[in-house]
Amino acid sequence: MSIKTANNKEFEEFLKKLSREYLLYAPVLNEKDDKVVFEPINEDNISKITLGCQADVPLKECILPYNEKLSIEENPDKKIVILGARACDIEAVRVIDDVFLDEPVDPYYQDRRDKTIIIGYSCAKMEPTCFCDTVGIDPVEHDSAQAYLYKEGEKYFLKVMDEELESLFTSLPGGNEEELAELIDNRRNGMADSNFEIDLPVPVPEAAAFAASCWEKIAEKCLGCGVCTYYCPTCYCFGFFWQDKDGEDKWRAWDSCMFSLYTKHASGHNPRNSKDKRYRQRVMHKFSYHPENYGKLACVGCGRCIKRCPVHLDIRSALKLVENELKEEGGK
Amino acid sequence: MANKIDEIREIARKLMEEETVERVIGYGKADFTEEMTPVFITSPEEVEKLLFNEKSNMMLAKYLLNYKDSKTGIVAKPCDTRAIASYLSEDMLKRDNVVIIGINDCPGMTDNTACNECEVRNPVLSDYTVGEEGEVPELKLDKTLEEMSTAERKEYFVDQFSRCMRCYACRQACYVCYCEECFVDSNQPRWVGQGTNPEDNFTYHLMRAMHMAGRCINCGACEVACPEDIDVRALTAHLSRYAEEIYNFKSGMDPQAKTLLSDYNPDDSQPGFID
Amino acid sequence: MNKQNEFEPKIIAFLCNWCSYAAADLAGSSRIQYPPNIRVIRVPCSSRIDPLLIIKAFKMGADGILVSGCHPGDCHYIDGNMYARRRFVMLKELLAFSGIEEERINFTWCSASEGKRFGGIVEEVVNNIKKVGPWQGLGVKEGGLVSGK
Repeated sequence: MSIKTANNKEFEEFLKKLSREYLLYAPVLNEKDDKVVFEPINEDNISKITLGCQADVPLKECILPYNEKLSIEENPDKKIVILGARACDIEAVRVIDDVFLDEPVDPYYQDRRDKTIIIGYSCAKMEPTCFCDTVGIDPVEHDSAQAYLYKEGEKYFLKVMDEELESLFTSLPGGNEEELAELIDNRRNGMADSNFEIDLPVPVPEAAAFAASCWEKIAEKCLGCGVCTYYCPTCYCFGFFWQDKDGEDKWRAWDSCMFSLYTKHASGHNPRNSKDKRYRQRVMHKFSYHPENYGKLACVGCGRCIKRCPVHLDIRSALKLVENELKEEGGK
Repeated sequence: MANKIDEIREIARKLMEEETVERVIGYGKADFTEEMTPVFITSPEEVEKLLFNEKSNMMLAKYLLNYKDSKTGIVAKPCDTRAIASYLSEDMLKRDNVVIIGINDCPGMTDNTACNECEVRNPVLSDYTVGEEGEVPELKLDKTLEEMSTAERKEYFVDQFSRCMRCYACRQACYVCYCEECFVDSNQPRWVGQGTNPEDNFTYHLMRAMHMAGRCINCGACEVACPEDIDVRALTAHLSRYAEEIYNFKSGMDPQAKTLLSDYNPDDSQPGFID
Repeated sequence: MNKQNEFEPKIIAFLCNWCSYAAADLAGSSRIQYPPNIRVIRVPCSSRIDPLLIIKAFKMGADGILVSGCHPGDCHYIDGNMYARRRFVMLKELLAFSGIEEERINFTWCSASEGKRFGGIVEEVVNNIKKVGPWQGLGVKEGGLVSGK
């Protein structure tokens, strides 16, 4: 591990170098729609990199594109560097890894993932929709990134966690380890907790939560669109389709369990035929099924589903209602 | 606004206590954020949850279709009442099953540019009203698109629709999109491909707009719902203006009226046809 | 431009079985010359034409469409074309507003006896579409394809 430091100018030079040698993704402010999205960086948009706020779109688009032709040759030859991933997004990549790198391995995902280097970015404050601390994530630092970036005022610190990557950062001057440790401590102490606390066992008991009667009430206002799943950093469901006229090229594109068609059988039967069942599936997958199978929560508390939902359906309210019902049941 | 909230609560409480309705759909505050969210009141005690302010930009009328067979009270902005009138004219609801608490003098909502063009500021039908009837403020009609050339408009729409994620929030939020099976989901024939290539996105938005022709009330629900802030309303809003211009038809004003495309007049004009 | 490279538009023609299809037939049996650019789809009535079929024709690369039914008042099903007329007026406005050149979207009425007129209309339509050039496709700007998500 080594510590590097940089001022604005040095950092920009460093980014320029990265963007030449790698396929560099970073959160960029798109002026057309005023959104911060992960985009490939080149000399032109390097000045638009925006690290100060959470990206509106999760970084899963860089490693699991919305539309993907199933062919390794389609993948870029260059190594991919994703800069500015926050702790929630990094944890989300681990969740998707669980699924795609588990047997049977998905070769298209694995190829892209092997080429990917993630440089994390340390959060300085919580947004009202954030609840990563509640799901056990430290917003200041996440240890599964290869390197981590900290910005305080005009000063940048880089902690290089993966020794094989040292060569990438040789252009930057070394930094003071104690100064960085102090910064991290200050951030951890200064960060207000999210106003959300929940007392549910993990994994959430499947049988009891599944049978809970509150789902109908929770999902009453759900419109049934796919916003929460498309903006979720851990939702990875996809569907296949054939794009060209001859039907030779197989593609996959994101799909969403919130659509009624998602579970519709060829027979016409639909096991999840109402929105409460679909919403239950989404919450249970995050808090019960994935933890059951892979030992970690599949919700990273980024709050994008809350921020983007057209009717402001809040997953935290849903969990609260489930918690209340399970407690009442348990108390009986 | 505070008076309106008191009035809404009073009416809702009366409806609940007298058991006139099984539920009242209205607006309330979200649990953890400052946003407004739909609330479903099922007992007189819950009435205090009801609120109303300029952030109440969701269309509640769509929820009525989930409760066709039981009596439901609804806090309805003027556009919601127009949606309900459309439902009645399309035979989607029974008038007896809805109790409308109409909001007079709608101030217009945040994040909804449709409100700038709205000339219906008082309910078109209601059982109760709150507040005093208001005047239509000065409208701000945006003619930018109409003044563009065909090629410029195409460029504009291609740019807009290529951002589409196909989450179908516009479809789900739209009060007229209530088909059991949407054309998007049909695979025989398959109208629109999966994935988000610009061609399929464009096709989806064109086809959806065509289904809205003469039905869209220009409420802006699609625009509010769109997470990518795409100008989804432009096509349908233009068509509803055009229907008014050509056929002097405005949807959702009269629950007895036939819809534009389920009716005809032998003397209808046919602009652009080859004679 | 030499003859070989000249742009020959592909036009999808939806013709009502009772009038316009018969008019096309009459044009043929009367040996009336008209350009061979139309591909005819016979439909039972102009009101059978789902507007989505027309949008799909453009999606699949048609350079233009021509819809022809019975004259208003002459519909075999009494008033099918009256309903269709309102739909087509709205559809034409929608497509024109979304950026498809008006010349590509053609609606007309043609009776079974108007073989000559039918030939004339096809000629007019083909000439108009030739003026606006090949169709670029939905979701495509002048400069070529844009990348989506």
